[in-house]
Amino acid sequence: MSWWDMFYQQITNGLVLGSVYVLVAVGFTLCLGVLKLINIAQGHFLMLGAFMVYQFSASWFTDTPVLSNYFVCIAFATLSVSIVGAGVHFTGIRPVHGRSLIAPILTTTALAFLIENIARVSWPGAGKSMETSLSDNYRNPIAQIFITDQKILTFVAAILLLMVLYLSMKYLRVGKALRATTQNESAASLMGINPQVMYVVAMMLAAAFAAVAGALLAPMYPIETTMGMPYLFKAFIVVLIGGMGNIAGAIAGGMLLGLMEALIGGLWDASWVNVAVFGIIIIILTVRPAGLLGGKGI
Amino acid sequence: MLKIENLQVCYGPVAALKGVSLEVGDGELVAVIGANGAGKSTLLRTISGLHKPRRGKIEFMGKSIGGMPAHRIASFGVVQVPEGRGVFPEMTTLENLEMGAYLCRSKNVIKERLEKVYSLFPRLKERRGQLSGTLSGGEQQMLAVGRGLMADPKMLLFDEPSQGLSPLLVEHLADAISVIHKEHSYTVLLVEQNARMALEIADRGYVLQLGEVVMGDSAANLLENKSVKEAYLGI
Repeated sequence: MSWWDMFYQQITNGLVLGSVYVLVAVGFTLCLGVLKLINIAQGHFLMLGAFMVYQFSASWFTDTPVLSNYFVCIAFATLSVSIVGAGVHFTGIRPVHGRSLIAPILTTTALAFLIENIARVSWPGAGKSMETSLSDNYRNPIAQIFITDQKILTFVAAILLLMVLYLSMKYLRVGKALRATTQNESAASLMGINPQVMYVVAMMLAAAFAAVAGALLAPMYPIETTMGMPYLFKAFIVVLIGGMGNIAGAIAGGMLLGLMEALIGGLWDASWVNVAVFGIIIIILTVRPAGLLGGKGI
Repeated sequence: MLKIENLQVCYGPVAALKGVSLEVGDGELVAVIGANGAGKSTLLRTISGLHKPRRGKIEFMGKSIGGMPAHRIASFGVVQVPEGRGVFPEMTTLENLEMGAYLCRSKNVIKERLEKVYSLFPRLKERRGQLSGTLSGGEQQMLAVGRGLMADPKMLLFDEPSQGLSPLLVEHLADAISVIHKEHSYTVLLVEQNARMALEIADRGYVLQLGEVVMGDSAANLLENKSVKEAYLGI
């Protein structure tokens, strides 16, 4: 395998990894924009999404012809995790929201641990794994490069979802209301927008996006109860690179992070990934302290 | 139409309004003038529901609205044009105007209102595709007023509309508010530091000083009043 084959292979890996990061980070940044808070449970929504899609397809729906379809299971997993997202909002965020900056960080941390431990009890033993018809169907468009259909699906699904999000934010009534709330909450409430409703919508969307990411990862990686936290950190990094509370920034930052990790890990040395990635982030933030697309709204 | 009795508002231990009473009749343009820190903005923000009153009554068309959340008060037709313009900077002019009509579900009605606002402020039509954060100060102020009109309010509240505008623009704005009030017969409560501008277009006025109403009279009388002249008109 030549260096160039390796390079192309890692580009495809990076785009897939980046797609997952973007999905998690878009939700994270939506919370940051609309609710002005850091949601520590964001990575745990991904973990739950992975477990729920496993649960639906390998257990609950497994004998039902239509429902056991992977895509139907993704839809159910996403829906159930977004309900968990609303639950996190009503139990952990709403009672303390707006009183202090630290309080929601603490409460969502507590809920993140709660979710993780409930998952540990519900799915005991080692990590789960699942297979779909997509996960071992390899294609090799160029000589030595191999891509599973699952990877293609992950990338395409992320792109489609982001397009849907973009169009909804631009043209739907609720999307415009979300943007207005992000940009000036008190003016938005003077227009008759109920911020409390927008908070719930944002939290459910944030959970849904992370859940889809988890459901797409499930056939590719082992599903573990501890997989949530690392993705929260990735979301943090993505938002730092891209710019706070800004969806376009989350997309750029997520893809960049995925590509950097894949290229550095694949072409150089996996143990240097974090050192190199954080080095590059420091350089980016030195040059552009507000992030690549910082200073712009949602 | 709007009746306020003994309104008290506090920021922590600091009293911003110490028992304000005032009234705005149907179709009236009432000005509240006063210096910086007199509590003018607090008064409007409390009427709109952005602050909770500590004591006292706010009645709008016979309904007690004191302490309700802002979005509910907006749904009764009490619409504020906020201080510092408060436009949505990353939205276009047109999108900002559409947000003003958020509670209206009919596309045709929104279109009609849009035409009305455009005829009042032709400049907004020229700028409709531009991000409002990139508009000039005067244009942003027009946009804020237009956005308020898009709600087709029963009552308009203006919070320091002349703030940061050049004298020429202040005059334009005063004309616009006057036209909105007279030709479209809106009830207006105008809070202004620019006392001359406010009293020239108002029917009646109140003077707010350190959280209390110290004077209330017809605008013409206030313009002639010796202490108002000295303190607020700089004569």
